[in-house]
Amino acid sequence: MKRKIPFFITTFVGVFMTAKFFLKISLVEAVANEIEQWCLIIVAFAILLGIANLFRLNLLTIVRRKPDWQYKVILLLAFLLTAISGFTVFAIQGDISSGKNVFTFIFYNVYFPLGATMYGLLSFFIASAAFRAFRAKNIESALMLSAAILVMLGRVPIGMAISNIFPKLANWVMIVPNSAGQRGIIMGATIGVVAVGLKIILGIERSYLRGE
Amino acid sequence: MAQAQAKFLQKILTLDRRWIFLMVLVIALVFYKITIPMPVKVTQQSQSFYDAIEQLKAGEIVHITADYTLDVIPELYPMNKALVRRLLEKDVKIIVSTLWIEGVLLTDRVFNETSAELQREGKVKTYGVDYVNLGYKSGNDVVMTHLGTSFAETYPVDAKGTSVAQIPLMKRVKNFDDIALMVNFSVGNPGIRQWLQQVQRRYNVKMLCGATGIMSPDLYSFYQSGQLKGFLAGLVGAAEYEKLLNRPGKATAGMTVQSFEHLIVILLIIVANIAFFLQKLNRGVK
Amino acid sequence: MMVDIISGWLIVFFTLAIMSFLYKDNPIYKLAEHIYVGVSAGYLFVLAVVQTIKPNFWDCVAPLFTAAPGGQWIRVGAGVFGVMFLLRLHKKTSWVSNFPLAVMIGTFAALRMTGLANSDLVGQLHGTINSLNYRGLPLFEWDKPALINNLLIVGGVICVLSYFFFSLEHRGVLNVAGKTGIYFLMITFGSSYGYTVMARTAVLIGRVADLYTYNTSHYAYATIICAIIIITLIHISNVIKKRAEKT
Repeated sequence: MKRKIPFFITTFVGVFMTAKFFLKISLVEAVANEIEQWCLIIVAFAILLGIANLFRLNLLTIVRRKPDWQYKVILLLAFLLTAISGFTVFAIQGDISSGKNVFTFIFYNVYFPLGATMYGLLSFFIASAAFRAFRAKNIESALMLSAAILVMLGRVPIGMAISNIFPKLANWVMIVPNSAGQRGIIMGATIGVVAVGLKIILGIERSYLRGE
Repeated sequence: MAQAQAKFLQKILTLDRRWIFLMVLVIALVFYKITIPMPVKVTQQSQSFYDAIEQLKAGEIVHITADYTLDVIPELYPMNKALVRRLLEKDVKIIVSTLWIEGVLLTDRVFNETSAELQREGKVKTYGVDYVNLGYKSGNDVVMTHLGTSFAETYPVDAKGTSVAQIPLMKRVKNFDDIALMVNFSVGNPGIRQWLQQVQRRYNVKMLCGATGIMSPDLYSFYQSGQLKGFLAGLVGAAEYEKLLNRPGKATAGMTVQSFEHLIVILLIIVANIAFFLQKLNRGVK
Repeated sequence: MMVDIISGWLIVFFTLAIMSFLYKDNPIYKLAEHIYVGVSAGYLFVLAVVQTIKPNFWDCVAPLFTAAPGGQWIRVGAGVFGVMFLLRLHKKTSWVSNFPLAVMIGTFAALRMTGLANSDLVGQLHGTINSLNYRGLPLFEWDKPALINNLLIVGGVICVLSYFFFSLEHRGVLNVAGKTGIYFLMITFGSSYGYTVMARTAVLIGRVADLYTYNTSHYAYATIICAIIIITLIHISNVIKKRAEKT
């Protein structure tokens, strides 16, 4: 029962959601729409699950005094400050997106610079990786290298300042060979996704359930 | 002599990466201040994006999905703001929703800044009549398909907590049939690929996109097949759009740094390959 | 105005704290990293409750308890399933979470299957076959549809798909097509790399812009002073670490 009912639910939900795509019958649409609403709410609870798990793991680290436990205290304090300020602002003014308050202050002055700089670091690592790993050892890697250099040169104004041919070539590479390659990858991957989707809905693929 | 050369080549190939980090940082710091005017070439896909927006009539409704995060603000925020300003100037109505949590406050910031600019020019735009921020919803693909059924059911309240039944603009919209055009600003998954999969062909929605540089290579095949009517690719795409609007801004200003950063990466690749081949040649000679 | 100055200092401090990782891993970077995780979790928590659970669940169910109109009994089930999901936290009760998980998996499997098949398979196939329509096309264009361009696209798609076709041994024509497919794929990956460099550089430009903006007298030269503070703190932590290792 513990395993059979979830498979039945998956098949039931999958069939109705697939049927909604093909059939314009009001009963099917009504059931599918309600399933979508349920899914939205369950996903929100999944986020709460993630938060609860984060809390549990970090509390355990603090209690057991594992290495770097002091940083976990900071993490939890930052979480509590953000969450409490967010709910307080919501309780007072009914929305969290406007006005100057603690929640928006944290968003613009803490969350924003931290997140943006985290991703900005990648520009340094990409240059370093290019220097260390990008070698034209054979035809394939030489092609990859040439395409990369051409696109990097052609898509920025300095390429056009050097010669008119670079932006034309870069654009052509993106529109013709790149499109062909991307399309082949997209179509191939889609066939795989359709196969796995069918296996899940028909109950052949069961690994997503705990205990299988 | 040969030994000295081999040592030198080895030194280059095993250069401490922190010197490369320093080079990248110095280039960015120097060329941010020294702006060299350079020609921006407008590509076909950016031109198509611009044309699609210019064809809109006053009173039509555009759905913008601000599916981006803080880290890509330099790429997508300028094009988002330029688009919102252009739409409000043309008296086109805007509904914004987002599937990424940061999108809520970013959308608010775009509207606040744009409304203030337009107000200074004597054009007053009212929230709820000219534009609405529906806010964030978790659920990705489910949200997308549910919007096809009903905007009001998917977003019962807007980002400010007001019931959409009380918002004048939302009374005109049931689902995608009432939307003239959809513009997605996309950073990843969920993003333009998922909107194309779940909404574009299913509900026959005219779709445009402003994407980060990382997502852009995928979009050429969708543009070529006609599923996407136009798109802006990264910071360069934003600069192209600013050129078309004749309103150079942050994206155009960033082109100098972008150009020289690309040059340094190309130089590093060329130097590394020359050193690699010379080292291989030396070993072959031995 | 004081709030404005504090904002500037916080932005610069956190930017430089994360950038200090480029030199080496250090306590300032770790502190900033943990603050980031905590704040983003808090932000996500607030939005999930305020923007989804409250309007889509609570506002539909609350009227049932007050006998007000507009209540939906069926929505109670969604809440029950949501709570069942939270039971995944404990080993003995985690099997209960399989029920709401089944709803999620079934929904997303169906949506992805139909959506991808419609857009990524049929849509792209349609675009590829349409490319064979040669009427009115010029022989060659750099950035517009043209005969040579379209033939290359169609040929390229077939070659790439041949490379991924493993039901037959790659011999003869299939081998040639597969190898050609690899060349197309290499050009694709190279182009993606070029665009990735462009995207990451754009993010860096944003950070540099902020560092310059807040390095003015109005913000008491926050960038330079924060940089000095962070370098000093990293040096002190290095000295303390070396002394601890010696003892």
